[in-house]
Parts: sequence; C-alpha cells; structure tokens
Amino acid sequence: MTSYVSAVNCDYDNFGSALDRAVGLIGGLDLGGKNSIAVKINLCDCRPPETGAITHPKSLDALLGYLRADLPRVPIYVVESDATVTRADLLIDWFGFRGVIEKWNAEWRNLSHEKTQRMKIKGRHFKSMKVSTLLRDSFIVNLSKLKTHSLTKISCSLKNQYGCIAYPLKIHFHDFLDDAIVDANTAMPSNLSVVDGIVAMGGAQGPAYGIPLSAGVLFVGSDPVAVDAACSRFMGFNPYFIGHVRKAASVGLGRMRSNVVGDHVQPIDVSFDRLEYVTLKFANYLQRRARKL
Amino acid sequence: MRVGVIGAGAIARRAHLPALASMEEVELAGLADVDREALRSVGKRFRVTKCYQDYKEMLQTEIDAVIVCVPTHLHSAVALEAANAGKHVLVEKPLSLTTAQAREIVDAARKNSVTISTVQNYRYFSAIQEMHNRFVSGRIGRLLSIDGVCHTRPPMGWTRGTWLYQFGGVIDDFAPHLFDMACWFANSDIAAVHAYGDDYVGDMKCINHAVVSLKFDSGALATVNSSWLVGATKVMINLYGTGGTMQTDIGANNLVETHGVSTPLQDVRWVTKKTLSIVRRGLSGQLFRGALQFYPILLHDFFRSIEQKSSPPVPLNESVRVVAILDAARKQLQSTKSSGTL
Repeated sequence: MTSYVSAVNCDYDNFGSALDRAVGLIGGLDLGGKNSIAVKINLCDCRPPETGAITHPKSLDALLGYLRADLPRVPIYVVESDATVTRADLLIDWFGFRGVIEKWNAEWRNLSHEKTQRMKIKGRHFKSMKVSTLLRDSFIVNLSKLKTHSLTKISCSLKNQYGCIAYPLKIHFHDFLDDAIVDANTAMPSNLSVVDGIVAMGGAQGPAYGIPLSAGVLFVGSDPVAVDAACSRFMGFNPYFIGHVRKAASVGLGRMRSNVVGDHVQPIDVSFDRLEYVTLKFANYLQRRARKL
Repeated sequence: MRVGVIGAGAIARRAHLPALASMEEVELAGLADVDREALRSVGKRFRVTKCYQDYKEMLQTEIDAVIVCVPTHLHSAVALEAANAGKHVLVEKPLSLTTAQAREIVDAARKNSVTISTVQNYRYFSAIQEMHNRFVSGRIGRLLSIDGVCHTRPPMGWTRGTWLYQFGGVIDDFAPHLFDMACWFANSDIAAVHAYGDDYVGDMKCINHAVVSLKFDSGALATVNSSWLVGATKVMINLYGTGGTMQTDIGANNLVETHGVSTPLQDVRWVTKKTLSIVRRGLSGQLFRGALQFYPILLHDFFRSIEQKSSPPVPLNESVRVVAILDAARKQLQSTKSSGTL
C-alpha cells in the first residue's frame, strides 16, 4: 500500500483552510473507532513560537478549530511531557496555549503526570515502555515543527512523538537517541502527522537554537515515516541517512517512499553546516561522558 | 539633473563634490558658501561653473536639487528655503535640530511636492545591508534589543568647525547614524527616550560621553553608547532577537550571526572571514575610504527617486524620527549636565 503525504503552501492566517485541504488530499480524517483525540504539541525548550522551535499557538488554534468543526463532542486532549530543560505546565501558560485550549473546549494534559501502564514492545533498545493510558485510548494527532536537530539532523513527526515518553530526563536516552525515537513510536504510534513548516528552523543548533526560516509549508500524512522522509527531502537531506527515519522504516512503522500530493513545494536551504553538526555532536558526546565520570 | 551644493565645508569637499563630479547624469550647477576663500578654492578644485556667497541667489536659478552641507543648526532654514523654491533637497544628517523644525520641513515638502531626504551612508555598508536583509527575512526572530556603539575621536581633524561642540556634542556626531539604523531595524515609532551623559573632561563644556536608551512602540529596546573619550575607536551595531543575534563591526564591515552556543569552529571561521575581508578591502582601497565610499551610490539613489517619483533612500518620516530622538536626548542631557569635573 502506498503512503500519501500532502504538502501545501500556507501561513498562519490560512492554516485552517490549508489543513482542511491537506487532510482531504490524503483521504480525510478517520478516528478508527477511537473516542478521544490527543494532540501532541512540541514544547522542546523555553523558546518563543516565532523562532520556529516550538508549536505556534496559532497552529494549535487552527488545528483544534478544524477538529472541532467535524467533531464537536469528542474529548480533545492537548498533550506534552516535561523534558530535561522544560516544564510543560509553565510553557503552556507562558506562550498563550491555555487560552487556545479553553477556546476549543479541549483539555491540557501533562504526560509526565498522567497515569501510565507498562507495555511490552519489541524495541530496538527498550523491551518495555510506560505508556500513558490517555494516549493508548486516543487518536493521536502529532503536531510537530519542521526543524533541524543537532543530534538527529531533523526533528519532525517521529522525533516529536519521542516527547510522549513520560520520563522527564530524556537526555539520558541521547546515547541511543535514534533507537529511543523508534521505540517511542512503536509504543505510541501517531495516527495523523501534521508538520508545521510555516516558520521552520535551520542551522545545526536545532531543535531549540537554530535559525528561524520562513518556509510557509505544511506536511500532513498518516504514515509518520513517509511524512518525515518527505520533510527530510524538503530540507535537503537524504532520508536514508537520517538514522531514526531509516530505522523506523526498517521496523515497519512506515515507508520512506511515498506519493507527495498537493502544492509543488520547492526544497529550502536550511543552512545545515555539516562540520558544525559533527563538532557539536562530538562535543555533546564528550559532555555526556564527562557527566558519567 | 542640475544640482547645487550649499556649504563648502569638509563633508561637501570630501564626500558630495567628488561623488557628484564622478556622476555623468549630474551637472554640478552651483556651489554656495558664506566663506569667500573656501568657495573660491573648492569651486576651482571641482570646476563648479557658478559660485554664490548667498545660497538664496543660487535657489533662484534653474537647478533641480540642492544638497545641504551646512552645520546642523542651519539645516532647517536652508532646507525650507530650498523646498519653498521648488527644489528637491538632500540634507546631511540630521534633518534639523528640533522636532518642530523637522515638522515644518515635512509640511514644506508636501506643500511644494518636492523630495526631501537625509544622508544616511552607514546603511550602505555591505555588512549592514546584509544584516538588514537577514533580519527582514526573520533569521533572528522577533527583535528584542539593539545596541549601538560609536566611540570616535572628537571631530578636530575632520572639520575645523566648532558647531558640533555646541548643542548635543557627541550625540550629534556619529550617533545619528546609529539612531537611524536602530529605527530602520525596529521599523517602529519611538515610545520613550532616556539620555545620560556629561562633560567627562570637565572644561570641554560639551557632552563628550553619553548613553541614550530608546523604547520603540513595538516593545524593542535600544541603547546607543557614544563617546569622544573612550580609548578605543569603534562603531558597531548589534541586534538581539528571540531567534539569534547579529553583530556588526561597521568599521571592519564584518557581520557575525549567532544562534545557540558560539563554538570554537565559529570563532575560527569568524577570524578567517574578518582577516580575508580586511585584506581584500585593504587591497581594493575600500578600507581606507570608510563610509565616504557610499556617497555616489546614495546620491544616485536619491536622484533616481526624484526621477521615478518614488520613495527616497531615507523616507522623510524616518529622518524625523532621528531628529525627535536627538531633540529629546539633547534636552535631557542639558537638564542633567553637571558643572563639575570627575
């Protein structure tokens, strides 16, 4: 079966209509019997939304508006977990997400404080993983950013789903980050991936301190591997050289080859300096080693 | 285009007249100055066909535009006279001494349908142009702060005139360039101006070291640190945004953009780039001509805006903003100036 990914040009003012068109291009929205929706946003660091580092409240507003238009009574949860350097509850208030969530009668849930259940998986690193029961029972919409990453080269839908791991100190997984991303997606697969590239992030210091880039594009698909592969190509990377994308495809989480439909979007120059990437990755490795001593 | 120059002092002699002489599309139709000797020698050097001791006499002739190169406190009177005579006017920075005078100039431009602009040659440094392009494209996100530094020598060699030591002193020297660039980047009206400064020598009897802080309506903040006393000369402007920073050493025409942590690799590249830039500009002679090298381009842009009836390189409202900052800063500095020495 072929995976479809839609790519459409858009900005924050027409995000809703662009999303409607993008979802329509891949066959529409089907909850598949699930009774609730969990929207996984990206709050990777305390960075303002206009930097492209975190989900923009306007994107969430448009997405919730789109979901509410068709599904007025379905419970919608907006979710994120704490991370090594962030406290999601604070960022939700600081960057204006609370008002958006209340506006659409949705609920904010911090996955680090949610009830979890240990689930056995055939992971590349983990043999089991604690999964939030909320996520297990919900249709997961993964609202990620189009970004470069200092360790994984790109951070789109697969990497955003890694943020569903409830354990806050996820920096401990950086030694085997690609495998941990694949395992998180195995345990908590997303059902719909929406990658917001209106303001993307380039440079080699993503996902928090890269270069804000106006890309004006939205990628949508139900296969997160296909979506990430399309995003990789859009950012000038060969997806076969993106470790977590290749590994996710190898364990059957999706396909790297896909039909990209929608607007003809031109690849952008994300100013990804490979020498800086290698330097930073090596420095990161040395730092982790030093901490363990 | 027939052009006249009013004032035969240093800026006319070193910048405007050589640039005009090199432009084929321009006829240098007149030069005016009250100093008969300066008028004679400068007029002869640049082969100006007609010289006038009274600029008003030159305004009666068939010239299209005038360039005002007189001391700052005379800008508004000359610019108004020229505009009312139907001439397009390019004024050396700043547009006028006070905001009230600047408003009169705006009214005169509107009433007489003439183009009036100011010289802001610092905008033409390639590092500044590149900085502006990158900033507008959103590479450093939302602008939070600007800081500018202009630490220069007192203007004794550049000009023998003493008018800069009156009024605002050091803030009337290079600071208008930085105020202009700050406003250009912030692209917003001014909400507040605070100025601190003094005569840090004691008997110089003018403001020779000052810090001016600005707040823009957009919320962005700016500081301009200007001094004739700091023991190292430097003119630079830095932008700090939510997505990164950009720093420009204007003298070296060098731009550094930083996102996240600054790595040793970036430092090596920056030193290499700066060295190569200095060597290249040194060999081409650009390094030693500084901001004067941009006069032909900015004059060309000004004349083209007249011909095409388009917006001049520095729109009048942007010139008025700079005057408003200087006016407010000058008033605060005069009211808080101490009389003693340090």
